[in-house]
Amino acid sequence: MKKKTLWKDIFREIAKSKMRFLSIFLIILLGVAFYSGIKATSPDMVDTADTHYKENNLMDVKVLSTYGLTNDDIELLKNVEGSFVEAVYTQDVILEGTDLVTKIVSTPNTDQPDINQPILVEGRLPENSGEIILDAKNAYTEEYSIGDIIMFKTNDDSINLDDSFTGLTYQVVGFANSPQFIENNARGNTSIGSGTLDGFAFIPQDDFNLDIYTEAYLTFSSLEDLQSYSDEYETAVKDKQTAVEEALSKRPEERREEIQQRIQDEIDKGQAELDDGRAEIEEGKQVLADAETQLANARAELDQGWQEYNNGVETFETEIANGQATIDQNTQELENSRIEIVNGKAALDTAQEELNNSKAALEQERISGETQIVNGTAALQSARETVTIPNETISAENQNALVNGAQAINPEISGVINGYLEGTVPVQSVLSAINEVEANVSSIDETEEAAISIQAWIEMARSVIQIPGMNVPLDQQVQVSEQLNTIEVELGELMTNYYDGVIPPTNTVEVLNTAETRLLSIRQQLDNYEAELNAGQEQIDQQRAELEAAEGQIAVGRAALEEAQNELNQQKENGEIELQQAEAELGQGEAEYQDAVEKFQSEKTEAEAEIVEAEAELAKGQRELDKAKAELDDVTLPEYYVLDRNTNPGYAEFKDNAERIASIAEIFPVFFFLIAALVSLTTMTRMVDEQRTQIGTLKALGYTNWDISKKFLVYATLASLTGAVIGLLLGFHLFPTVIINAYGSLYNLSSVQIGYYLEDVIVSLIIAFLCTGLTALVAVRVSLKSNAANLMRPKAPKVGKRILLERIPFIWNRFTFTQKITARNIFRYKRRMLMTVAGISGCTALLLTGFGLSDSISDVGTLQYGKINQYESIVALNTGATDYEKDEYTQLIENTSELESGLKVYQEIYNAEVDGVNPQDVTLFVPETTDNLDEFVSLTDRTSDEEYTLTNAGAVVSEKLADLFDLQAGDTLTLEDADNQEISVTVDHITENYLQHFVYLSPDYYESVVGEVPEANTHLLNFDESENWENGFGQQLTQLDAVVGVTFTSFISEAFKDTLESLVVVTIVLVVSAALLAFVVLYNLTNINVSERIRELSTIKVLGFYDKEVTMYVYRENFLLTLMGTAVGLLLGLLLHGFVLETAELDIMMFSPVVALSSYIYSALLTILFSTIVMIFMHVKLKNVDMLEALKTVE
Amino acid sequence: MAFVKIKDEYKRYKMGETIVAANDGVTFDIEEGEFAVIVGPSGAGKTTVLNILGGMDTADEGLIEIDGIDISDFNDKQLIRYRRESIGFVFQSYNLVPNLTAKENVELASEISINALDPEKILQEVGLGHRMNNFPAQLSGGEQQRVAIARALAKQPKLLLCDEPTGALDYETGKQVLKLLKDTCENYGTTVIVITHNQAITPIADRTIEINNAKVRKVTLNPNPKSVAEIEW
Repeated sequence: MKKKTLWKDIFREIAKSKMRFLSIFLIILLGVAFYSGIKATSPDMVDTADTHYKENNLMDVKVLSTYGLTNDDIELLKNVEGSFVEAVYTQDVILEGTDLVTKIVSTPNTDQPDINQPILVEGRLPENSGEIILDAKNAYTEEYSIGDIIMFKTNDDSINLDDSFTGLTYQVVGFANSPQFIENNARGNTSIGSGTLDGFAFIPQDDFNLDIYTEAYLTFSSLEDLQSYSDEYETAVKDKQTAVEEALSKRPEERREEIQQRIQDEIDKGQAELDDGRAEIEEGKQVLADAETQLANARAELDQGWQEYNNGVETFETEIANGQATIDQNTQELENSRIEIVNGKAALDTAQEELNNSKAALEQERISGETQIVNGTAALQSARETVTIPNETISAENQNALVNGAQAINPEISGVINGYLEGTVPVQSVLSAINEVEANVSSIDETEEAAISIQAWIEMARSVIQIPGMNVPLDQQVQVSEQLNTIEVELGELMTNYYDGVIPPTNTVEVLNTAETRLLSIRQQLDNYEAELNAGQEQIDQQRAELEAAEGQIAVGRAALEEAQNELNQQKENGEIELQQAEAELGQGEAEYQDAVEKFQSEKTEAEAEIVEAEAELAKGQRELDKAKAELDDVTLPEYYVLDRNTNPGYAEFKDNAERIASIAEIFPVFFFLIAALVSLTTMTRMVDEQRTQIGTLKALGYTNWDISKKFLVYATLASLTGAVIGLLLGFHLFPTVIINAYGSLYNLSSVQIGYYLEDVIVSLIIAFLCTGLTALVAVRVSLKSNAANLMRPKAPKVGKRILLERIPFIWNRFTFTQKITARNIFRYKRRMLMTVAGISGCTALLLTGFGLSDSISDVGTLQYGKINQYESIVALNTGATDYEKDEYTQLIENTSELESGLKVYQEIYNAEVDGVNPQDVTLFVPETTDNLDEFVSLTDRTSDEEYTLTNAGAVVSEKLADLFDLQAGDTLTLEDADNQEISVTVDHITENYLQHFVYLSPDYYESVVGEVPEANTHLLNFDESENWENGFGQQLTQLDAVVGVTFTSFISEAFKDTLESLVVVTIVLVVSAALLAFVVLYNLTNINVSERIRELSTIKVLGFYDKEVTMYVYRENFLLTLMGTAVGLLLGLLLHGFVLETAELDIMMFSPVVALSSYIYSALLTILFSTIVMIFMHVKLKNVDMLEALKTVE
Repeated sequence: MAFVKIKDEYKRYKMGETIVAANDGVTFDIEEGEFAVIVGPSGAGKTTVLNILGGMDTADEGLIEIDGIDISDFNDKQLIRYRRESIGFVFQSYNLVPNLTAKENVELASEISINALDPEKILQEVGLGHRMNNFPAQLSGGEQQRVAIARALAKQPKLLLCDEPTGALDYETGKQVLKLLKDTCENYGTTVIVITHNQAITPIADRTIEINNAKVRKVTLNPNPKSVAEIEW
């Protein structure tokens, strides 16, 4: 039975639901492509590298020795079973002009197997002498082009390039890569230049002038078919290494003997030559010494003559000087006297002048004094005339009457009256006494008669007694007073009082007389003064006479001195003539002597030059001899190194990179696939639901369950398998190509090798089928359990229900109408809600993991070389250097002012091994002092930022090592050095660290653990300078014997950054894939949502909802779900990120587990962006929904 | 001037090679406040007329004037606005949003309308005051249709278009719904157009338009329409 109609139906179904078919196809395609692609990348990387190595015949083993390789060595190597050997000369040089430090390698001139030979990029290989082919890396191609001429030089004094090459000038004929250096930048280290090799170059073997080879490359026929990096290869190479080591095991001893013998021969020959030379020199020296003695005698005689001459000169000069001194002294004395006289005269003149002034003043005074005396005497006279004593003016009769009457009254008044008359009592006192008497008359108990008589007396007395002013006219009084006032104010007042009767006449006269006496005394004073002046004049005159006499004496003295001077001059002249004669004689003697000396000197210089030359030659010979002797002692046992490819820069690292991708492939695509599966599952379930009626119809028509299922099975399988197949093709090609090409900027490899991996194909196809076909089958089976009639009825739309939120009116009532609808719709389709949240969260998680990976990776370099290792340079010191060499180094460091600080450290590689963990190389780090360790290395707890110091309590261990070995503070860690010596340290703290393993010990603790004082073998330096400066400084350092090598952090950090940046491309691939997935998932889920609710949406369209409102009606939920999914996804992403980091991490490295805030934001924003784009798609779709069709009554 | 005026309206569908006309020069008028019934057999083109009148579909030709406005040249947005403001729809299969309660279904319409009636009040008027907070699934068919009518009326439409409103209901319930529609027409003065294949309903209409084979065959005016109780089928 063909059931053609059924098949027709299947293909019509596909045509009808193109979008659904396409979305299943796409999701599976994406999932499979991503899964298979990322999975395939790692093996493809290894395959690409392996192909490259094989095509270019990369060596399996490289042999080096500290004393080069002789033909004997090469023969031994050739005898190792299955080996092909190629021996080459190499020499590190600096290219003149560009200062590129280049390793020059020889190309063979035989038809030996071509191991490690250049891979031509441009031009041709060197064929003739003087041709060179350069490294094809940018540093060279930018500086040189084909045809350029280059020259070699070196900065290492111990190397003579002429010994190594036949010529130092070469013409560039091409550019090439080398299979040894797949990494684009790193070329390894060197002992010249800045310490870092810039590149390599090849010249014909004949241009080397060496007799011993530098390196030998070996390949083995048994290794040809093994894949590089594979365990089989590694094991096989190990065996071959051992075989080579065995073959060479006796060579170190033999080689040392050869070398020592050669040196000893040279030493003996040199010693004999040296001895001869020494004897000749001694002879010549003796002749010279004799001539020198003769000359010395002549010189002594001359010197004596000079001595005498000098003495004579000295005596003559002393005598002349003494005479001159005496004359000068006398002259000086005379001069002093003269000055004294002049001064004396000047003083006299001053005195005279003063005297004259005084005389003039005296004259003036005399005139005014005389006038004063005359006027005063006159005034006093006239005043005196107005004074009268009463007994002279009062008549005697009246006097008697007064006296008698007074006596009769009482003795008291009588006394007053007598006084008055004699002029001693003033009138006023008398009058008051009389008044008193009068007043007493009535009171005296007297007779009236008596009273009358008293009264009469009183009357009489009053008539007689008068106030003096009464007798002198008033204008005269005034005139007298005024005149007296001009003499003395008191005198005027005196007269007024007298006129008023207050002062008695006798007193008045007395005062006036005294005044007159005073006046007259002025004249006497003037006379005295004049006498004094006259005496002064006399004195002056006398002194003047004395001075004139002294002047005379000085004139005499001066004349005597001039005479003495003339005499002295004459003597001097005579003496000088004599001396000149003596000097001339000596000069002649001297000239004769000089001639002799000159002659001797020229002869001596000649002789000495000969001697120096001879001595220099001897010294050189001695040095060479010493060096040879030292070499003889220094001929340490040659060391032979048998190295595998891992020593090639980039070789191991490439494998690490491949492994890192492999780790990512372990988890990332699985998660990716999971989401894809989830979504296709939902889609298929929905499809079955939609086709319910048809299932019922077919069932009713009698089709078997299998027939009915077939439609869905075919539909799903077709979509998923075509998706899977295209996905596989795309994945196998696209992802390895993109990622390996991203690494291409880092490595120079041949074209990408694409591989198809059956395992991935099968897994992909099975999962694709399970997610779609099987799901469809199961869903149909579930539906088919219902009977046909039931099935034909449409599945009732989901019944509306109250949601939990409605029972919380507090919240529910605050919702707007649309919010309520949204809330209820979200909970209505719980399964779809979960699917959407799961799908979106998955995509967000993938995005976040992608971004977070990029964060973690790019942080490593910054943290390790910025935060943890803070030093800029590390100098490896030669612990065997001599003190002088060490001093040289110390000097350079001290004189380099750019250096900020330095710390010497003992560093040694130890091995740590614990069961169940890969053995780890651990760097033991013992600083000379812990004082300023924090300037160079930061020991901190990564999470708490607590800073640690090194103490005697134990070691500080780096975090990754602690993780690997499960170490906690207090645990013991056992380490083993290269000589299998074990040491145990107690873990004190665990410190943040990202690259390599470190165990930090304080010097004291080291001593207590190891029993030795640590000897620093590295020097960490801090500075802040440009790369150019670093290059210059590096060159200075490498020239020193005390320095083994220099590494600049900037260089490691750069190189490391490059490697990790290629991983960033991987994260971009992850992010783009995750983004695509996110988009398809969102589109699909939204599509299902819309198709499930198409009737509802049509209804609201009919109700008159605008297109935008219709879209928002659905999309509000979706948006909310997107937000929820994003939130969940960020959490999930953080977990996934941690998990991927853990898998992708190498033992030697720790990624920073921190995801940047921006990554969270980007992931969330991208998810929301996709959600928005999907919304726009849906908007268009909803706009075109045929609402009439949807609303057609279901019959 | 007629309230609803359709003149020479054509609607054609392409069915493979041939073109089928659903409406072939349909012309009729309905006055404001009339209870009109468009009757005809299945596939006669009556639903097409209703869809065109309701702004859910556009005519290929012809004049469609509602309340003096020609909607035949309206673009999508204008049509949505016309539906939003002027038209109330009642379907045979109710088309309630299952996830919303009766009241919320009415609110869905009233939320977007300018002069909407109070949802609770209108639900009470259709006799569902006690079932306002029930979900559609908890209501009988008649109740659901009454919710649908309430939802249509909430917007106070100029025109209430009903597509076989009783089609999915039993006899009694169907009559109740018809009565509700008729009452609405009388009480609110809303112009109601009912589509049915059931000739028995025509006596209650003010105007009966018979459509058959894409053309209007007959327009009957009934000056004395019967009440719903009087008819039987």
